Amino acid sequence: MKKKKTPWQYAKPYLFLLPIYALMVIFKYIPFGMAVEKSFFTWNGTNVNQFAGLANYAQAFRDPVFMDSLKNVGIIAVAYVLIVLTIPILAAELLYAVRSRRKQYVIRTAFTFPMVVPGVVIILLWKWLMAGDNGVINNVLMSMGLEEMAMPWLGSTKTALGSVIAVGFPWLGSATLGGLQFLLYYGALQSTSSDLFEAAQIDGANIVQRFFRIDLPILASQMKLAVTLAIINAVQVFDTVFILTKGGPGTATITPSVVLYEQGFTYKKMGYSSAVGVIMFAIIMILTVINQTMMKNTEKMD
Amino acid sequence: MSKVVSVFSRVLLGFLLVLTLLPFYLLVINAFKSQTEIILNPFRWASSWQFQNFAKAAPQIYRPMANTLFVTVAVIGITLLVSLLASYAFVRYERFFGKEILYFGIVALLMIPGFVMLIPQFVQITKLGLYNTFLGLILPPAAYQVAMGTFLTRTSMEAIPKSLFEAAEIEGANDMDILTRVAIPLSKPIMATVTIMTGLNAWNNYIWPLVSSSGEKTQQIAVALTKIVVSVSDGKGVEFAAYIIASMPLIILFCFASKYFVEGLTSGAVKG
Repeated sequence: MKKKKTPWQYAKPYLFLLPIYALMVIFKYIPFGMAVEKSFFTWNGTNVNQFAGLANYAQAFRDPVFMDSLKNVGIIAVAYVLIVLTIPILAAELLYAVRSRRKQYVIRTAFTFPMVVPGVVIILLWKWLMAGDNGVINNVLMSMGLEEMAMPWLGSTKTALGSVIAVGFPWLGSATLGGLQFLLYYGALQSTSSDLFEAAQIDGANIVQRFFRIDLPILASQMKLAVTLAIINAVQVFDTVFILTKGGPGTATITPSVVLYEQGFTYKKMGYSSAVGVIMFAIIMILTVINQTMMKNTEKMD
Repeated sequence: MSKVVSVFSRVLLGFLLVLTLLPFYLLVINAFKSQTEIILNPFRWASSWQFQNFAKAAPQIYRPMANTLFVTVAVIGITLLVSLLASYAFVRYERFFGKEILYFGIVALLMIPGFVMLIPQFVQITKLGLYNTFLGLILPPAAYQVAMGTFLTRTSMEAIPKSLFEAAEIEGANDMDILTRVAIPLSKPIMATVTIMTGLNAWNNYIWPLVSSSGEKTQQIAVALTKIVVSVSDGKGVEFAAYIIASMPLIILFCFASKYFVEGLTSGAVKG
């Protein structure tokens, strides 16, 4: 059947790939190359464009604002990792334990619904919940007679970062933080043969034993993925911080993404801003590699 | 003992569900209230229903919603078209020079955090004259979505039996026929997933519209929502009404295609 290929036939697969490469090279790979290149330049995007060696990187690590942003993003990352390894697993287990399939479906749909609501709406909604004046949380505290606990949650240095992390609590309806992981865990449990759980029950394993010996190993791959996603989202967190606090008060909630945005667009220090981006890229790469090697995948079970 | 556990676990699940949905319940009930009533007790139903909150909110977000709908549809269309063409090359042509590298070049984009490229992308679209244009809002996000789009459509297309393609070829069908009559019809479920995933990202995009457009002409809904203007007497109710209107398109879609939503939300995460 093999015919001699004409040059046209040689070219065909490349023609099918032409649109995707045109799009990606122009709008992603060239900008990526530029980001790396310009991180070594003093650059304002237009007329100032001078090679500066490692000056931008040196400046970043001397910049107290950027150092605060690294500290904050570290805290956010730890919090996000802890969140995705606890509440979504708990919720998935609780849902899986519901007997009726129909009820499971309805409850899962109810949990999925908030993930469809635009992220900005959820952030603005929580801005109201946590507001100092006439916020819902303070309103509840006052009606319970706990006036002294009411405070401007996002406006106080002590509570601002915690409040930013708390957005979406208990995080099961959040498309990026907990809800996605909940769907992944639940999907993994659902696709596991129920024989495995029944066998454990017959062997007399109690709930705690079953959870640690069977469920956790089943969920290992999902947990690994959940942690990777949590880290990527934490290091890049922007919308929540920018809309709620713009990084403040002071530098209480500043993150590298907000530093990048402000240095680049407000102060036009685009070379410095590019260096911040490259550092974010490096951090994500390093953490992802560590996570990929440290955490186990689900073992194949017969 | 197990009875206690079972009751407790149901209560706990119910509690988590209530906590998850409570903010949205508050959003809906307070959208119909006056500012005084909202402050007085955010948990109580409106005593006098302020339907005009919605009438006041709509004019502020009607234009950005239309803009965003246009951008979303365009991003989805480009993503599907470009991803399907690329997948077809990988599935139908078993061997060509650089195949694996070319595939890697596409999915490798998923490993680069978007923020790294933000500044040069802005400079670039400005140079191309695309600042504050729809093309500028559409093309860079689409260039990112095609990576995941190709990954998903290729995986799905690989599962189509090769004999179907060969049969079509013997019948004299050319590549375009095979793509449109065999590959695309059999890829419909994954196309639904890609549509939802891409659509959610485009509708929710905040950072790119924030930097690449200004003013009302191209304003996107995520940015517009943070800039709702309300008079003191109107209060929060009008803002809430705007949030609800802006959420409706996706919620309506969700009601009809919740199955694809779950896939659209999760399959983006489960990558190689």
